[in-house]
Amino acid sequence: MNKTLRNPWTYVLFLLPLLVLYIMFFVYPMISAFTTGFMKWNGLTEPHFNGLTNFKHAFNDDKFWQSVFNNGKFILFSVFVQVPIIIFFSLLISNVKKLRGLYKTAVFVPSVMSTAVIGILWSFIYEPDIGLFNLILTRIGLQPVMWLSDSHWAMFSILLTNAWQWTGFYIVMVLAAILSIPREIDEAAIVDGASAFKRATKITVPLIMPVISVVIMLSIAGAMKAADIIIVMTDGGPGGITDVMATYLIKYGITNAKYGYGNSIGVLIFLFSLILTALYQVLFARRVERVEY
Amino acid sequence: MKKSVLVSSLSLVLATTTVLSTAGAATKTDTIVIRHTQLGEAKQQRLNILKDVLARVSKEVPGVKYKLDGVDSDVNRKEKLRSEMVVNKAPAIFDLFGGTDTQLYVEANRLLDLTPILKELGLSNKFISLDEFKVNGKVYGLPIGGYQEGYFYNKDYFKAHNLSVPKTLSELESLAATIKKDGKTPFAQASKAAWVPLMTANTLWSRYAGPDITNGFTTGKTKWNSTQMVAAFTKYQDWVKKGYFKQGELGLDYAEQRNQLIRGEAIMMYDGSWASSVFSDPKQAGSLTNKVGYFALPSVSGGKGSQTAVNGGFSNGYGFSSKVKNNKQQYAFVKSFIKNMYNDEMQIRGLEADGVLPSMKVSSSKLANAKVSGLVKEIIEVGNKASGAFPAFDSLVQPDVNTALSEGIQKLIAGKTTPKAMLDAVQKAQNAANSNEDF
Repeated sequence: MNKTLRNPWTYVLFLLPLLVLYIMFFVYPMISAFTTGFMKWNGLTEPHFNGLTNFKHAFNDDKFWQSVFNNGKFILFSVFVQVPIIIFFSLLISNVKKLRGLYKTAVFVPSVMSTAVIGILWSFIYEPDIGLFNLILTRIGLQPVMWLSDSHWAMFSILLTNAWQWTGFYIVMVLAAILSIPREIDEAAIVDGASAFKRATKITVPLIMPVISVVIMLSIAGAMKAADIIIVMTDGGPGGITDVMATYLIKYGITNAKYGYGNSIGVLIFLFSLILTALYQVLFARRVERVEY
Repeated sequence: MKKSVLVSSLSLVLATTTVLSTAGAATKTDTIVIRHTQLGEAKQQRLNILKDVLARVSKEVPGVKYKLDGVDSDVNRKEKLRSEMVVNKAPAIFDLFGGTDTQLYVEANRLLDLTPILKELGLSNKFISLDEFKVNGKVYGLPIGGYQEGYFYNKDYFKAHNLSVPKTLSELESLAATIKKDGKTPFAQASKAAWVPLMTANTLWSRYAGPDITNGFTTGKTKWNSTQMVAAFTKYQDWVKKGYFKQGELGLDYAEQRNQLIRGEAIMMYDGSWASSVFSDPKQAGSLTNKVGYFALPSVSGGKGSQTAVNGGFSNGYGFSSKVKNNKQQYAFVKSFIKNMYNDEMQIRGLEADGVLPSMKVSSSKLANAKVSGLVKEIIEVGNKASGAFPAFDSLVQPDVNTALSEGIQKLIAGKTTPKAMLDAVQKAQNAANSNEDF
């Protein structure tokens, strides 16, 4: 046995199944996307190399930039609206003594539901005549809002639904971090006369910064690959106003039978995600100190 | 146990299993996948017809099992089937649209040439028109039925308010103004999918610019941003501005437009003849059952060309994978499927149960005896009175142009563009598609 474990080929053999899967589902599609991204190809007939034409077309297309901008909105909403809400609710739930499990389960449930179900459910809430939101608005004497069809509100409506779906998942993560902080630290602060607000902002939040950093990173990754919720709720409409890069790829790559162009958009999504991740690591994540209690 | 005994017994097991598995393979039953789009209550009758056809086929070709695969029509057409065609993994039998879709797949040799099968089954001259499924004289798809587009309207409301079917566009507009004044929505519409409002727009522009104008876009002979086209879309936007459609309809799914009519919230609805079966089913239409009438979009004063032509044709049906040809059993299954699906009996059944207009030349006596609803009779009558039919724009223009137009109409409804700016953008997309741009 020891002899076997000393043989490096044994480890190669153990890794082989995973490596095969990794190559099949990640490396090969990526190489294939990179190569066909430089081709004119309708997916059916012979492709031919067209240099940087696909990329030039994307950069000159206002609709592409509109979709990039919408991905940006997803990221900004996640980081500046969703994350503070996650922290706030996590702090609240961590201080609850009774029924904490119930609260945790209640906030977590949306994240295990299918996006299609959530999209349809919220479409009812946004319905112009009988939707919950407009019923409330009209009851208090305000004008109803055309949530999914008004270009001013459509993107916000999707962002809100997306946030509702994922907030609970992140709350559970942050909550676990809060609950792992030794109680003595908090008790010492109480003895020193620190208020609940001060304890939360000066002790708890700094101590859970590594987890918050992960939450932000996951939110950015989620924002970059958002597509399903948009397809179900607006299908990029009205008039492409809610398209993100992934739905732009589907519309202009698959629907328009321009697979070469679609792959070039895939490459751009990959590069943008890479740049964002690198920027986040350099500017923020590395500065977060790892805390050992 | 001796090593040689072990080796010989293992070899025997291996040889036996190999022989047995080969024998199994020889009698193995093929499984054929049939992609259909008959989902939901409104298409239940059509699904029943498909199931009955398949039951007959199974008796004729016993060695082949089949599996039904239901997918939403738009998703199948624009995403799923297209992706499957790319990797050459399309089902053996699938829902197919004629025109540009068929041409694209034929270029890549993905569709089965049906010409010899039709000849063998004596069906070559039995279809009213196979033009949309023909490429270089060969047939690659078979329309399941015909369709026609026009206005469905609430008969009781018309009667109660002393309204009559309009003969001109200005009469239609004054009708809409009266309905609006009464606090109702004149036109039911749900435009989350852009093809829904484009049905009205397609006939409107064919009234203003002539029914043949769409044929010229791909050749460059006609232009999207011509004066008549701008006039048609200006009229459309005018209706939007006057509130003739439900507010917020851009966020509603297609099925919702029927509900607007059924609930009595809206009085007229522009839709295809395929929607007619809903109005003869009490479960779906409720109190509006058999109380819906039908008329064509009326003539435009000063409009170009025929003013009675209807948007109609035979563009949707079944296509078959070219791979089927290499498998004798599957080929026999396909042949039997065509024989059992495309005959007078099924055409009449489709007409009676679902209001689908025949795509085949059914004998006039059988047609006269068909038990169809009053609404279907009205639809057939409108078709008979029409000077001709023009196909839907999406079977004539390239997918890029369809996408540009789809975005444009939604922006127009949202008030985010003008008819001229929108049509300039569509023409730009058309020019790019016609020039076979390098991307």
